[in-house]
Amino acid sequence: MQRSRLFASTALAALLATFAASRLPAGDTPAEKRDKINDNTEINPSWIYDDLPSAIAKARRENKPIFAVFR
Amino acid sequence: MARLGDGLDEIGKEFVLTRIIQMRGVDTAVFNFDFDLSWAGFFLNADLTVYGRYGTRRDGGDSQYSTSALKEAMTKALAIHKAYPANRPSLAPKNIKASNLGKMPEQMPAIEVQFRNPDIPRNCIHCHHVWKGVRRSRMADKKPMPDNLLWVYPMPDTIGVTIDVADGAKIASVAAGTPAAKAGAQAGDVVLSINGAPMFSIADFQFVLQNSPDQATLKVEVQRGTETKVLSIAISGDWRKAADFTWRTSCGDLRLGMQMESLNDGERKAAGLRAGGIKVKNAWPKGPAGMAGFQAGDVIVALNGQPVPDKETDFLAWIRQKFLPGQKIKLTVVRGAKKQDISMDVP
Repeated sequence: MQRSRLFASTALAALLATFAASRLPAGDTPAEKRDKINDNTEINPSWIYDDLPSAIAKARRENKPIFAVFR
Repeated sequence: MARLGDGLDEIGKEFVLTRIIQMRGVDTAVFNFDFDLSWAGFFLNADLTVYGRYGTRRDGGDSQYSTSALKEAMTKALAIHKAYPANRPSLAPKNIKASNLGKMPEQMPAIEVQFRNPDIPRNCIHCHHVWKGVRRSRMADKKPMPDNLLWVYPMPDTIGVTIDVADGAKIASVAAGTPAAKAGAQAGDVVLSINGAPMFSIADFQFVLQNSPDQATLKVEVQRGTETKVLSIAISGDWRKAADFTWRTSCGDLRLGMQMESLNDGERKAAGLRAGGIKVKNAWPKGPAGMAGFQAGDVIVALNGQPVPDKETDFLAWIRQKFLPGQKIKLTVVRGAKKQDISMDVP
């Protein structure tokens, strides 16, 4: 995905920096996870990373809408 | 969840948050958005019904994002979710399946070979590759490019309104003489729905426009003070064509292997032109134009004897809508004081 210089300087970037974190496969080190998402954001276990089926299952289980971010 | 700031941390807990980092395996029939974006958000039900979208670029910049509008969109998505599935029919305009999508990008016939093999390193399928795959399929089929594959995801400006970036739904301005002005739209109106579908964002607006036929009447429900009004905005003809699409990463394939730029008055006069004409900004040496002999600084004054447009967008659209790949074209250029013809095949 393209990176955005300007966007990164906005308040929304602060959101993304945290929002961008994801649930990654077990065993990945934080450095490996950051490498996979190709940026320097902190990894946040609240996010599901590149795994839409898991997001769907969780949304069904918790009766929540999905917020899917492409970046 | 770590602190998100800007008041989004709490509302974020109401969603299942997922990040998709590349397009491999993504069903583009569901995740249909402006693929030249650097960031795009979807609000969906677990059954993959789209509630709304967020994320818009203008001229390659990110001026159309705001935390406040994103929060507003998230709030509206929660309200839609609460009323779902009774409100599902109203979401149909946000869930139109484009006939040229509906495949995972790696399954598109014209996608680069390396993207088909997940074992090749550095073969991440970027968002903009989706447009490339769609357009290359069209070119491989020797078909001209339709308007909605060139001027993709039209901004609301194309029908005459700008939307307040901080709000995401409030009309900031209405241009005189445009379809929106003729329908009675006013600055300050808040767009509630289009064709019955609730609007969350500029991206939602763009999705409806992208999937509108060239001639249509949009039913736009607005809140004006305490009143709710429905405006009938009639669009027809070349309404999509106001935008410049050359900022888009995906448009590289539309080029002939060179970038062009508009002439200034002095350059136009030096080339012996009163109007039209376009300058070659650069020609990649190993690209079709470079191989044919184009050089930076050449002024293109005619194509097959016809005057050429003075904007790169219009020039590329002309090429892609009037000529097919493999067709031979003759471009007349002025280089210094000399005029010459250069022939090449449309790539």
